[in-house]
Amino acid sequence: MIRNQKEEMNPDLDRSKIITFADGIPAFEDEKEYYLFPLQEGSPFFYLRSANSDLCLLMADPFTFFPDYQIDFPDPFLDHLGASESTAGLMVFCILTLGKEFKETTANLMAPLIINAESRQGMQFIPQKSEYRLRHRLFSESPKSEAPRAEEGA
Amino acid sequence: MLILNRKKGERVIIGDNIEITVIDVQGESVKLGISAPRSVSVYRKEIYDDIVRSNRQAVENMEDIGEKIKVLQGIVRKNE
Repeated sequence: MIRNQKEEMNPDLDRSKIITFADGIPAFEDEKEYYLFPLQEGSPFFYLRSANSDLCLLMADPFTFFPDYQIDFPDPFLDHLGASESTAGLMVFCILTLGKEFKETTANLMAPLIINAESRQGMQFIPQKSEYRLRHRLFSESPKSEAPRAEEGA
Repeated sequence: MLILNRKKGERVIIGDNIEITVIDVQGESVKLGISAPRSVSVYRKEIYDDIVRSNRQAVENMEDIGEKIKVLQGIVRKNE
């Protein structure tokens, strides 16, 4: 097997850790293999990096920033992830879009990325309808306080 | 593109196992029943397109990601 450039530069990348998105991710349908990295130990931020290109998504744990967040997956979706028997390995991430200013960072709560750590499969959840939007400000809009949303109304 | 007329209650079959029923028609709105295997995903097109756009945008501003991340992390730490 030919190791790709990224692995040569980065010997830590272990192909056994690859997460497979069998259908790709909408807009990146051809990219099916990814590595998941926390930004650092315990961080609520994560990178999802393609194993085969420079594609990289920045994601966050939605529950850290939006404690009331909830999402309900239909059975067929869980089947896709090999999670119909057990949902214990499911991890939920929201894709972040960075603005020109970091404070403008938004989180996509409508269509989270779901990874089943047990089967190492992933898929973006596309709802039929949602009470959430594709863009929620990650940080409070008050210029004085840079508190994450999580602390609003707590 | 195949174009055909269906009346309320009539069906269309796609392939071996996808069946679409016209359940109701009210003015400009058509209610469809879609029966497909669990492995087939059915999405509302406009929602799917919005998600595609949003995902594209999410990878657009990644050039100076390293710097932005440092700022983000600073904010998170400040609030811990």
